[in-house]
Amino acid sequence: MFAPADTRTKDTRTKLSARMKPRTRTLPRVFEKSSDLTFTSTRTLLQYGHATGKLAVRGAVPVDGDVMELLLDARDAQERNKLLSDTAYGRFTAEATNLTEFEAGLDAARANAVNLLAEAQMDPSFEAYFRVTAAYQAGSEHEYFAEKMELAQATGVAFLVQTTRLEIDCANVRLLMRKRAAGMSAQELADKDSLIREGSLGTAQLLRAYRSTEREGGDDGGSVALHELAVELTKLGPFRAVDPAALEDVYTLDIALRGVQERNLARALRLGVGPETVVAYVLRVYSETDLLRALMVGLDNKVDRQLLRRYVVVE
Amino acid sequence: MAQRVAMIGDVVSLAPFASLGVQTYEASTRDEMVQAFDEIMSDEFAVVFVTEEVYEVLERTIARFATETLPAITIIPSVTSARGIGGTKIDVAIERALGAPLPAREEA
Repeated sequence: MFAPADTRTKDTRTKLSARMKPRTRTLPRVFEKSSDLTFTSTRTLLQYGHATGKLAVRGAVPVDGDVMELLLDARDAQERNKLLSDTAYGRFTAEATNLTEFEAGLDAARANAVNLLAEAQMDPSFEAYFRVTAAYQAGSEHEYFAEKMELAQATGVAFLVQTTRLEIDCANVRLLMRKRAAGMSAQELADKDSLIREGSLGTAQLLRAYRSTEREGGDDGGSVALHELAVELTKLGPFRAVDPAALEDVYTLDIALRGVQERNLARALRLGVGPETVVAYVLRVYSETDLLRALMVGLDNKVDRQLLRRYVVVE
Repeated sequence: MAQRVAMIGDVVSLAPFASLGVQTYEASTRDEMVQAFDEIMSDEFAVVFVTEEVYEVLERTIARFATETLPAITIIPSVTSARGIGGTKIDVAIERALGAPLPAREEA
């Protein structure tokens, strides 16, 4: 069916055409990119659809606790390679014949993940955010987080700001548990201004938890003192689901805190199409490559598998 | 005389160093860390590596030896720490700290 010939004058047609143009609401920048959006704009679909589509292929099998268990139980390197071939890392590590080559493969996987940011034409501040992670050793933890927070805010993505706040919370909890183990007093901790600001939990709130579990006459850093602080910290915000016992060992503490961050990433990966999904994917690759590296270092050096499990399996 | 090297840390981080001839001390509690450190200081080591976890717990004890010529106490990231780097990269960190790589252990 054809439309009848348009007999309207040129002026009328121009006015109608202007009226018929899709209305574009100008949203404040912070909302335009925020994870608080409840709809996916066409612009977002166009920009991130390609990158997110790639993620669906790359990250079909995440290296979660179950996969780690399977890798730990694998009879040999060949079986491990087969398991990894179903994950995003298989194509990078398949040819590795020793630990050095395996680590090079993990580095390549990280670089490849970061390349997605450029492919999705995301603001350079995203890539800069991940470069700070890589260059951590150069400065103090305070400088590191200050720079990360600044870059996270520059991206305008609320999820990345929230993730950075959570990372700061984890760094502060780690610090408190280690300082309690060292027998440091709350006063000394406050005087040294050791806690990092801009976490979701305020430094005053964390100090209160530390002080409330302090023993009279000073701490000995013993197991009771550690347990009481762990119980207090697991009453706070993002740590509510954490088993206090997991925080009490200075090494497995990191695995417990990693679990807190993993749950945050899992939420973002379910969001669908948008910058959050791409960013969460890159963060997940960083986390998983850390654990895979630790796993392979342990296996390569014949560390007891049950012992190794404590260090690499995130519950 | 050979330069002896010791290290205190977790079992995974220590593992690669044991094969390099480093005297390793596994410690996860404060008491174990203090005991390992005392033992090392009463011996003759040229270099002592401690993981960042151990350093944070023993910070004040280690500070007392900061002006001593030997042993040189160096902090390295552990394999499993939040921003930890792998065993091979720890070798790189050591090379930066010492100015030379750790020699491989000579087989008897």
